[in-house]
Amino acid sequence: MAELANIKKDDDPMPVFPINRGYIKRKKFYNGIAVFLAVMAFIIGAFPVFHIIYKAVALGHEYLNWRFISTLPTGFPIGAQGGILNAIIGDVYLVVIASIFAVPLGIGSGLYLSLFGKKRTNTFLRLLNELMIGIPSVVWGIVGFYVFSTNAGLGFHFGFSALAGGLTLGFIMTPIIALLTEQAINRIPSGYIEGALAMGATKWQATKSVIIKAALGGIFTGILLGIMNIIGQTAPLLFTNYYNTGMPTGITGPGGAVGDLAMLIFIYIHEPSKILHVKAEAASVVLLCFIFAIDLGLRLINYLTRKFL
Amino acid sequence: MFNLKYKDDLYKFILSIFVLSVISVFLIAVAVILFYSYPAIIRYGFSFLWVKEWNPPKEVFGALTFLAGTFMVTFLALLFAIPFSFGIGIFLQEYCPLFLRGIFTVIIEMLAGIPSVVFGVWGVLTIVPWLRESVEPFFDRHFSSIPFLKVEENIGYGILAASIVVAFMILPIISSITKDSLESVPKIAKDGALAMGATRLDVIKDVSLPYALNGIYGGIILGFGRAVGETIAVVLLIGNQAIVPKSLFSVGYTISAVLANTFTFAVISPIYASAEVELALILLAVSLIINIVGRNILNKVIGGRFNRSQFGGG
Repeated sequence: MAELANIKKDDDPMPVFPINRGYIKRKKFYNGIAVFLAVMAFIIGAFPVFHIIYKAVALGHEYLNWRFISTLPTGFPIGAQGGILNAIIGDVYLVVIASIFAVPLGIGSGLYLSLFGKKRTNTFLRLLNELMIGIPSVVWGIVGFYVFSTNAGLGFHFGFSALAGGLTLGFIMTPIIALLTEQAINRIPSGYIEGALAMGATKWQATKSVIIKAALGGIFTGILLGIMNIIGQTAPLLFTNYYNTGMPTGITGPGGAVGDLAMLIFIYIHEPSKILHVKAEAASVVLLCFIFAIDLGLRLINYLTRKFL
Repeated sequence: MFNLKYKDDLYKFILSIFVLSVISVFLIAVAVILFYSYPAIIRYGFSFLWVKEWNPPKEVFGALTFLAGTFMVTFLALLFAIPFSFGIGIFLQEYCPLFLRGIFTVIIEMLAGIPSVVFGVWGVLTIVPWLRESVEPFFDRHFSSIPFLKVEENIGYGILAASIVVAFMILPIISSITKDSLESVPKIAKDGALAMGATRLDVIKDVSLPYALNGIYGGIILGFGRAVGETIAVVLLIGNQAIVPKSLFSVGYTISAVLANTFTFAVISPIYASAEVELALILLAVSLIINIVGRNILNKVIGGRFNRSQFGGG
């Protein structure tokens, strides 16, 4: 040890193995290029998020006031004056109807999978849910048309209405809630459920007093993700609800159609009218606000569950 | 005791009704599409796939034009999206400083949350003018001799505009799955390589990527599934003309765009409606196959964990 300590730095002792400094430099250079490319990829990928928001606010800012949100569209072409109240009310209709359909179904099947399901049933049902999530929304629209809206042949004959549109959106929402409920329940430490069952609780009592409470965060995540997904959907509504510039008079049959934000944006951007394009952008801001508010809620729930459960 | 046991059986019975309803939603979807496309399948057979003409009054239906458009948009979107999502996944998982990783991941997830109609509006008001005023004149001046890059009409709408926007829409899916796959690489393998003096790039190239490659393939396959079915943004951007696209800049039509534009008129005539539903059947079949393959790969690599970037607006 003493000899080693005596060697001075500037003596430049022979290295134990030859270090090819050029090689190391080259390696570091390549690594630097990789860092640069990765950062560029991220910047280009993140660019549309900011540019979409910027563009929408920059074009639509003059309409971003309470009047726009709280009045019905009027004028010619329809929407040139007034606001988007019909679409906001319509979205409430659609989300409520879809949730009434999808929430019990999704939570129920999630509970079944984690309480009673055998391994094979679980694998099969999970695959089924994933497949349903993968089906393009325009295909769901056609299914919804033939099941709910059509006036001829089999089906419910609801016409182009909030009920038909909402239930079609419910089809889209169900697998999302089912998957996330099952995941949330599977994340509960198994001691919780087994402890309750070992104390002589029935599965229903275990569900009521343990599972629902422990999985609440995950279940809400599923519901909010489902809502976030369906308020952006346009394609299924094209064939099941379309659009209404006024207030609905019912939820089925003639007069049962409702407005919808995504649909309103789609229709306005199709019109060859500058003012409607601007209003489409203003409505996009409102839609994005809803979506990012739900997103924020999701993250809050996630944070709280992780912290307190 | 009879009481308690009875209650649990009742509970199981009620829950199994819910499960059966979920299964029946899927079965109804498949059955409706098969039932209503049956007349067209019988009448046109496989010629539906390679006949070019789509003529409702003459009742001649062939999907080749739309298949070509769908294929081109999907292929180009994947071509644009794969390198970038690859880079984003690597950046987020390997290079990004830890305190920024959370917020940067949120930004990419926000991209997944933006509805496709908003993407479409952004494309119409941003991408289309940019293509029309900068990109297309440039290509017209310098590359007009190459057939694939020929600018036929300088309007901005077309295959390229649609595929750029679709590429941004599938970016979060592929990049989040790339990130998750890279995350599943055992830390000890990476640390070992780093301790041997490897640079980060060496670790990515020789340790992480070979391990994560299957997952990345799964992500690409799921991205393909999303791109094939993408409707609203494509309707707004592709130009909606039933011609087989010959160049990057030409207009076209995709299966999903045809459905969105004409299905409500088609239901007047049974055979026309049936032909349209057969288009939907193609989309359904592709999405089912793609998802079975992609999920199988992903379940092996990242254990079926569901990333929220995989649900997007439609």
